[in-house]
Amino acid sequence: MKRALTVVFLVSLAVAVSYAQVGKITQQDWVTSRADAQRTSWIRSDAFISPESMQKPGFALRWKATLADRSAPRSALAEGVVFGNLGFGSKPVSFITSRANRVFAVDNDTGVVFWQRELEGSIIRTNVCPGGATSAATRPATLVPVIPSWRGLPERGAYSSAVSAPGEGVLPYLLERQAAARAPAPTPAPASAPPAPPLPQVVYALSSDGILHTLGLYSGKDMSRPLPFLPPNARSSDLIAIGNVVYTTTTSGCGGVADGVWAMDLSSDAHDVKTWKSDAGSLVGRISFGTSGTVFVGSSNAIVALDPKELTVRNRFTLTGSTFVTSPVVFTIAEREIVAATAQDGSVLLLDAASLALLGRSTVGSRDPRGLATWEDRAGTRWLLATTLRSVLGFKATFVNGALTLETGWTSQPIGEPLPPIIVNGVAFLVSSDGPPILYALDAATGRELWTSGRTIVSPALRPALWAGIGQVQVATSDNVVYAFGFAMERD
Amino acid sequence: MRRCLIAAGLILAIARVGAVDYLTAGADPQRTGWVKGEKVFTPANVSRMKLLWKKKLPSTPREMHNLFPPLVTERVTTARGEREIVVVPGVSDDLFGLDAATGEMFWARHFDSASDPANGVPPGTLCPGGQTAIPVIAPGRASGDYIAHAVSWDGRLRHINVADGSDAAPAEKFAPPNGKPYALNLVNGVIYTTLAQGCGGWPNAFLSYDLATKKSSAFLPQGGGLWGRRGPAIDADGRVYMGTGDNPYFSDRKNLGNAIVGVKIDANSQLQYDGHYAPSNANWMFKRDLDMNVSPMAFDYRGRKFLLASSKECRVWLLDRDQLGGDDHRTPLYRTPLICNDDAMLDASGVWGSMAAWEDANGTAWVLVPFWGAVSKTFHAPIEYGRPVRGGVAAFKLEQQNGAWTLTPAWLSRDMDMAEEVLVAGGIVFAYGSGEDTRQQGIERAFDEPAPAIRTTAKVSVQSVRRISSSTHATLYALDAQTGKELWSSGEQITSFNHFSGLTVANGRVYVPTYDGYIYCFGVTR
Repeated sequence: MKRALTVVFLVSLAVAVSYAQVGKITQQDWVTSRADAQRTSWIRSDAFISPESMQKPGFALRWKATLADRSAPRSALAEGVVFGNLGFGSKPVSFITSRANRVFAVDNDTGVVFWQRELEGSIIRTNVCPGGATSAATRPATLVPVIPSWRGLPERGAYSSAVSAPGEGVLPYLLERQAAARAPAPTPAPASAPPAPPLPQVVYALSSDGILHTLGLYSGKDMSRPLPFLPPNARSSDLIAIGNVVYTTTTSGCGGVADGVWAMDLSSDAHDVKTWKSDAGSLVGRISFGTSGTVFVGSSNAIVALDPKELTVRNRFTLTGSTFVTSPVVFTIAEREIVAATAQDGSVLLLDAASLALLGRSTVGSRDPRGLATWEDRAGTRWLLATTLRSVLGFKATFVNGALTLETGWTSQPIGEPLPPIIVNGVAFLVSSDGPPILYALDAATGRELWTSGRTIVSPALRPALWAGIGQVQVATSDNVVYAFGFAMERD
Repeated sequence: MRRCLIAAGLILAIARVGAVDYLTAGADPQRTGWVKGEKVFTPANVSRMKLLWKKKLPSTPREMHNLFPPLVTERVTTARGEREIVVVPGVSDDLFGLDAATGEMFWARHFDSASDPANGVPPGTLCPGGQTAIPVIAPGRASGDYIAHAVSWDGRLRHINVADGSDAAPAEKFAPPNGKPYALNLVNGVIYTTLAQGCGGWPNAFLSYDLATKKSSAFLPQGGGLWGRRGPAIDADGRVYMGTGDNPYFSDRKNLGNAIVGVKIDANSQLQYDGHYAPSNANWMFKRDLDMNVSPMAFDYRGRKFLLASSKECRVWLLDRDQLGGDDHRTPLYRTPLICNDDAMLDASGVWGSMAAWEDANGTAWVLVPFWGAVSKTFHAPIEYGRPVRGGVAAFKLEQQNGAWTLTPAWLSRDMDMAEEVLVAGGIVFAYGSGEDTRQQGIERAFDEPAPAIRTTAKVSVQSVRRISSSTHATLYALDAQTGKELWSSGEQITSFNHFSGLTVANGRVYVPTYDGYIYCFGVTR
């Protein structure tokens, strides 16, 4: 009996673990603007979305929700960030800031507002300065994206039954079934470094008064004391938190604040704020990170590499004859880390992340490039997707005689003023903006149209925000409505 | 002894005719919650109900569990003469025999489980260990003899004389140790239960024990859950029903997660698959952890063999037991809209207690559904006593409309703090709010928010400490079964909550056990 109970105990542990994990679709979350610290806009894998699945029926509008009151300005909603498995009910939630100084937590399955939080601070709006909480929220991010592998639901045998010998009870049969269900123990990989501590389960948001809020995922409560980060009424770009440091940029001189990069170490008692004020012209959008932690910021005429702690300049690339129009995007090819950004003249500049030396410059065929995203296919081909006024282009990045070049892989069908794409498991999603927005799904390796939302989105155009959840893509439109598209899991 | 136990099972139905007993959870093997024999309570006298007695029992709680709803035998032959005995199960392997009239404890029985059936694995809120199944009582061979069958923490089946707490027969191997079996049922000499929620690491299973052959059987539906509070429902044809959860539904793989599963014992005492129904949104329910967590009810009405089921999702499925779910296993006779849980929450919302079904003197059939949390914004009834926010009871009429069976909302009760099990007796719906803090997750405290008071010294899990500390107290209600009007309430008289417990009604008395080890007896003068 004692031996039997020992077996029971050991088996119990294994089964308890498997039960705990059942039901949770674990995959890469869209944790910060443009998905990750490199701002690639790329979700590596998805349990539902793929070029194959998008060719079948089923991808459709799942819900739409209006997230602002009448006092909210147009285009108030920023791009959301996602926690895919909130609690053990596997509730996927998007956290979305509004320039009305609010943060919404929206159930990605239903569109129900799980909580909303109004932040303090006056809102001063001008033609140049939109006012309010201008930055998207962020979850804690990592320098290398955390990409859990989704192995699907565990295989189970068919239902079964047995009968015992008289007086034997069901224990022998249940032990046998436990043993059959037990998965072989995975061989642990040799530990090269101590495991990283778990990331805090919070979402960061910046109010119009420049105060950083650390909000609980379940309640929106301030889990830490709100901290002054920026001067009031600055126009901040998308917030990001790496380790214990929170970063953002300020642009347009809003609130009298110069263009610059800002960082605050949350682990220090003093919560000192570091600043790098731009000496390279107006900043362009958000910062990105190399996998070693270097901060890359784009300005109208330079890409600048900053030390992540002190925000001191490490390197700089100066552009002549044109101006940068997109934030830097970081990716790796042939074991070299590359910083890419597009310029007004229609070129994509490819820089060595370590030195900011120019490795290549390719024309994308338009004098009005609008956005950049990058992904790598299963064959290892590195793709850059760039949007122009009328289409999306897919480029293959390759080294030729030491120079990094972009070779046109595909050009999409005409799409009216497409906004920067995102890529989910080989599918590029983008929204047109020259009329009622249309969400397009293209095969990210061929440009072939897989699906469109047609006339589903009835909201006006103007800078919709786009982000991905598990098996789902959300679009926030200028009338502050979030449309969620995905494969319906029948609720009713 | 064997002959005695067989006889006990076979004559159960006969014995029920003449006695006003409450021998199994939910009043009958069908789990209808309808106390048909009740002769004392009436809508006219229930307003005079009062606390008759309360008794603190020497039961040690485990996590949030303590006492379970008692079973009642009206005429037990004891050494002190014929008495009405209340058998109260305690989670720490205890049974107590009380005098229904006074609360005096006639006997206490502590089972001799192994020193640690959990083998060192710590308990938790979900899996407390101990005795978790409400026993079942069967009449013995002689008039006035009753035997309570119970499953102790070590999984053994106990046979206890209700008169004095002694062993009617030696304990026998049945379930695994440290599992979580739910309320026992007994039909035709076979004891049934479900082994639930993966506790002890055991697969979730229907279990049976044939008292005649001593053969045990297990049926694993490959669906989790199986944690309906009243245990499995069994119909007159011997079909056994329970809902599953925590696993997806794949009919091709015969994985019956989030489904209502029917099994039946064969001639060799082995449980065999008999049918199933999976809601069209079973996998949505799986994803959101909306288990089929409610004991189904087998309810016969106007020649039809119905099965009624519910879940945390908070709707009711009306099924035909002879064609469970139709040819595709996914077609109910009728499905109500959401009664509550608009936000598809896994905790603190939905149906968690036990329903009731009954037929009134006019031949109208009723279905009563207690629920936790706010009533759905879209659910309405012709008679409403407010819009419950903490829980309530929704009443439906089971009727035919244009040839199709349907459940028509009839009334919606007042607000109740986590409405749990309902029972119907004498034209009265007895319902209660448990007062339990049912939140399992997402309890966040702002940086400047004071820590909540800890109001327990129990050495229990963190979750149990929080929930025990923030629970309030149970409240018993008597409602007019026709209208839902409140006829009586216990108000503040009950001072503790209960967790995964329930109610018992018999012979003009209502019993409410609480976490602090008390059993309250409310009643009217007979």
